[in-house]
Amino acid sequence: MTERQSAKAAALAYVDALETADSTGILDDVGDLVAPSYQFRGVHPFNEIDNIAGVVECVWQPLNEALTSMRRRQDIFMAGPNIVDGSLWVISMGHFMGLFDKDWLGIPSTGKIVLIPFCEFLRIDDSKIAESALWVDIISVMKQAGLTPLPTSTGAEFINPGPQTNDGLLVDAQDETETEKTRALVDRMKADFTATYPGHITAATMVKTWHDDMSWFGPGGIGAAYTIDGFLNQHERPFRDGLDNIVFNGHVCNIAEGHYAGWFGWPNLTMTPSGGLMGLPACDRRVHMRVIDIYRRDGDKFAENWIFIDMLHWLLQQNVDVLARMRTISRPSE
Amino acid sequence: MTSRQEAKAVALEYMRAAESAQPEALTQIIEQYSGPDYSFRGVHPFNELEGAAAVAETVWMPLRRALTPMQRRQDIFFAGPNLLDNTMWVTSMGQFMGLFDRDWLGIPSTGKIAFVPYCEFFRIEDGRIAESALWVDIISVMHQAGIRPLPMQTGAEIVNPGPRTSDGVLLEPQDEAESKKTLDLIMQMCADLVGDTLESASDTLRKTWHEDMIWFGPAGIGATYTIERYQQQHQGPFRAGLEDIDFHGHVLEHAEGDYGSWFGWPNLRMKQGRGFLGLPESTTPTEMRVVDVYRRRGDKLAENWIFIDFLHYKRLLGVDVLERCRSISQRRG
Repeated sequence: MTERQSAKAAALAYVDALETADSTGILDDVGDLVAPSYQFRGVHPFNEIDNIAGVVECVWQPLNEALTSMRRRQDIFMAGPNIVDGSLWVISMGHFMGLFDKDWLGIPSTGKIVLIPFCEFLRIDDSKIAESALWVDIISVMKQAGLTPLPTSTGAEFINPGPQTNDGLLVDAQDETETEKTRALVDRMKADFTATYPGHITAATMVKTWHDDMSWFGPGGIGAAYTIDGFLNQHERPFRDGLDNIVFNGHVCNIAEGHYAGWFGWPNLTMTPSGGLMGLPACDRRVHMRVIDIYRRDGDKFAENWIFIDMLHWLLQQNVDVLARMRTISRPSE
Repeated sequence: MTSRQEAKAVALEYMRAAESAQPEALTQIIEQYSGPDYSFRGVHPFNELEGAAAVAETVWMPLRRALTPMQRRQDIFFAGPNLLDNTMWVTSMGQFMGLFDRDWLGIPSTGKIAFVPYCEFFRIEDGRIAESALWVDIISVMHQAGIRPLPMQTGAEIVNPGPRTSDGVLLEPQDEAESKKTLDLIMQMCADLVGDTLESASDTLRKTWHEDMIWFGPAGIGATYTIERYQQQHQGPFRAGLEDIDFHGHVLEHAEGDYGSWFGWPNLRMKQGRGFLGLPESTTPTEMRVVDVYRRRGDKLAENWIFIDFLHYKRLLGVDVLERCRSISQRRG
């Protein structure tokens, strides 16, 4: 078995154990699959946790209890060596689905299906989970519960689908030539984009690495955009116009396999909000943005992009504690 | 000096004439009823205007063309001398109602009923409207059209009703002693509020407010009920967020019967500070143009309707709400 395939096997064992455990037995079922030096990064309010017992207590058990019969519906699953440091990572992206029967993070339960967009990165070392990172779209869950934590999005507000091609679950080994093509395209696109800070990305730059009918499946608060023009109008311009002095800090993980690739940073970007992004006023602080990007290549260009941004963390640095405010609003008598 | 009843008669005649006129005829109607130096103050994007033509073209024609037909549904109507300079003013508060058939200020039309909460003030001099001021709740109209310009509200998101007692349209003369009681009470409450640097404790509030008071706030904050929930859902967040609040005085303070009102231009200057309305913190100065309308019951206040020019407040913080709305909904106008 290749390195990638053994990493996937370790990740799938962990995914299965998480799914079949009952809420009080998660640590028992998952503990052995995780390395002693395990490190976790997650969106706010999870942030950094340095032991699996803490992660089970803060992340998995509350989620498992809030979502009856929670299932991981993966749209993308892949593995590969991290070009940053040669470590081996797995990416799992999709939705956690369940009946939203108990409040979660203070979000009032609905008794109905909820789909929580997620992306999880797992570093595999010696067949164990040595490190992981988890983004869940909490703004999307609030919207599904009828709350509006942010002004109207510039993009379309819906639950993002998986790849148009339905071929994102790379359970089998992939052709290394295809992987190399994706790798090279990611590197070119990244160089094109980062070279444009602090200015704008032009359509002329975009067309070098993106199909005209590209999809940009953005996070809650921004929404999804379609076509290069749509992306420029509904995300790129508001983003670059509303943020000053954007600095790219690099990635923690950056992998590719087959037609797919993904990365995350901690934080990827640092900026000063100059007013307007997501309908919010300017703030005088330097703030960090934790971002995941997942890409699908079609031929010689990208066709689809899924984006996760830790909005709660981004807003918290501007003194907006979205969860605390929501709890006060939705349960004032408590 | 113009009497209360004379002032009301002028305002009512103007309203009737304006409501039955075609939008194109509004300049002429306003000219007919307004004085030679007629001036207007209104919420953003109207701001300060001079003369009948500018007001008709900037404010009324677009509204009348958007809401077909449009009726003024008054919940409160009264007149009285301005405590500040003894000029005679009329307050008219309620909803403009119409079928929202054409985009208004770039807000996409719905083809359905829209309620535009409004409060209008007229200064009457020599049988004419010498000056007027208009607050319309544009954020509420955006909400009715499915657009969310602000984070979720601390208060209830409803279209505010008129007085519980349905006695707010004071066509007849009122007992002057009752009018004085109301004016004294709202000025005492104002003194308590300002004296307390807008940080009225429960005990202070209970001196001038009934326990089951209702605070019918503007869209962006929403409505609250009872002193306890008012403190939790409006006063607390207002106090915890805003910084360096400076009371700048009012343009008008008056009362008649059980009703009273005031407005300022702006009433308050402040900084967004630690953050208000669910928006980020900021050290940029901004200001609030506020209307308060009150109903007294016995010796305390029972109901309060509030209008705040949030588009102006946010514009000073670097967000053009209407431009963003146009851009998102791909509308012009």
